[in-house]
Amino acid sequence: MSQLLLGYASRLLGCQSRSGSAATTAAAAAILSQQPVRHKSPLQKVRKRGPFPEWTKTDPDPHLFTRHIPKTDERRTKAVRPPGKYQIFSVHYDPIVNSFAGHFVKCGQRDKLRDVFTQMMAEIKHIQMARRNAAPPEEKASIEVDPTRVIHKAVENCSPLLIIKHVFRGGFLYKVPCPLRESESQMRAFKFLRIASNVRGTKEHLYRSLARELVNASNNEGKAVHAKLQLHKTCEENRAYANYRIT
Amino acid sequence: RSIANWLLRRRQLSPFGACVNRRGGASAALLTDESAPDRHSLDRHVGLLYRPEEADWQAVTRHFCRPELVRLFDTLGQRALMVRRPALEIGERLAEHAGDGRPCLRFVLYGRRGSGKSLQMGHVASACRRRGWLLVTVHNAHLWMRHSRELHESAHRPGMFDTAGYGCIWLRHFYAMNQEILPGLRVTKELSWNAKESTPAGSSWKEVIDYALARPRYSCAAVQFLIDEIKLGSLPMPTLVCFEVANCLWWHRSGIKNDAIRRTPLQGEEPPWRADITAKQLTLLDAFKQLLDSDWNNGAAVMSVSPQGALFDRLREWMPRKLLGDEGFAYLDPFVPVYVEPYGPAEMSNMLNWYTESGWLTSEAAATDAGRAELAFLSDGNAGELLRIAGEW
Repeated sequence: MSQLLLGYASRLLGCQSRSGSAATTAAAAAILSQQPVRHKSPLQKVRKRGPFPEWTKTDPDPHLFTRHIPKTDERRTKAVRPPGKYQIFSVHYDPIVNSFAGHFVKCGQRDKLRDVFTQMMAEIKHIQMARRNAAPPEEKASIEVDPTRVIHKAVENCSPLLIIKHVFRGGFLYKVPCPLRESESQMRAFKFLRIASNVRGTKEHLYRSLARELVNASNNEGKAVHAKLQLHKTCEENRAYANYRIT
Repeated sequence: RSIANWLLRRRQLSPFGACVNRRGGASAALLTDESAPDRHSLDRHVGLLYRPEEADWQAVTRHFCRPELVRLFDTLGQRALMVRRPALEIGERLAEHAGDGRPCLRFVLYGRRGSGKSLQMGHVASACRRRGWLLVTVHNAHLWMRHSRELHESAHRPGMFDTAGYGCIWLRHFYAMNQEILPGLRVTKELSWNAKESTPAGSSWKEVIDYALARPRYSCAAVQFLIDEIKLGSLPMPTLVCFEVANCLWWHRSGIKNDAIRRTPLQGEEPPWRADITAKQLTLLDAFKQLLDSDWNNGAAVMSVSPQGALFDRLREWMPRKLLGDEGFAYLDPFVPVYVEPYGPAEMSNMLNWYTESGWLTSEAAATDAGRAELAFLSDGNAGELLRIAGEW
């Protein structure tokens, strides 16, 4: 989408599309350098199962590939994972913010949540800019204002390394510390942040409490980080039972 | 064939391609040093940003801005408003119109929600304040009709209702806006508040306002008396009336139900008890509606119509005829309709440059060509939408 907009813009201004061919070649090289799927003829339907390579943020617009590719080219039948439902090919798209938003969705009302998140990110900017204006000159550079980076730092600070799993063995229920996959750790971080930003009643809007909680978490303070540290503490206490792990 | 070629041939490309600079990325925002709105001119200042002076901002312009915009300016520590064509055109007409003995000239600003009608009114109002006009501005009429703090049966206008709290708030706001002019104004006839109390003729307007603030029950009566004075046309300076969301004055619905006054019904009194109390039955709003009439001299009225005033209804309409309805249109006719259009390519580019320069757009993508084109596309030239979306970038 961004490439299309650039194309329109450059044509309107009357100048050549400077980056067209270079980007396509580079992207084609990136795709081709991945291991191709072998099948009998190029037009045969692909039957191999995953894990397929994903569309990443650095890949250009997928529509560009279907225009000038000959029918016998293997790029037409190469197995690639389709983009996610809410994955946008935009310069502003961030996968962590997108997943974070998906975690808050209730009753499928993701478009309503979009407005909440827009307000929340503006609120983060307000909080951090006010803090930066009030800070002494030596601390000003260390205060992060960009909401996306604040969210990344907050999620990183709230992500647990170990989690307690309950194992029933010999008539007793043990709390066993187990390692986490990266995606599960990220989900736990989202959950800590969501529960920490929950305000009873109608005292405060979600965007305000969530912004405050994210800013606190990015500074390693607040309820969400405290919850993660409590979890780590419980894992430390139960480290004797680590060998009871099932997986 | 490519999609882009197809769109080019059908001339359906977005005009915001021009937001993308030849050099690429953001460039410096175009600001003017002229901070006085009455000295802005159509041939030199259109499309530029200006920094309002502190006194003008605190007294006048601040009230016309959305709370989000005021907060943005407080956070950034700097203010910049765009000089646009509608405000300058109205300003030029008003400069010619003053002191002619002609009846009240009425302008109706219309446009989509978020296009910038209130800020254009703010520009006109602050220009007129610098020229020495008296300002009568109403910002929250549609909010007065959504919520009622206290509602009393009116003594000075039987059959209607007083909103004492809003009357007091408005008088304080009026006094703060016209502090330099008010000491020179005197009441020409005796104002009787009730059977026992009255303010004599020749007393200053400040005394009337102070009395009403001390006795909130009479705040709406005080507003009515001051408006009667304005309509006599004998003030030494012209009056500018600014009314935001004027279409709520003729709307058939409101958020106030008839049982808000909380009294027991008299014997044999008929319902409807749950009918809406409309602007016709509120003394405060009816007083301002009298100012929008054309039967007085030495003044002008600038108002805007917005779907916000169409309470609980017609949320997609933005044209004056639809929003004012038959009655409102007949009351205001003839008026000068002024369209507040979306940002053009140059204005959009300037606004994006200013947001980047002031540090509000923190994302690296916002400085790139693709990011700017996307911001322009998502907001579709709407100033309010751009403000909202830029909070995320």
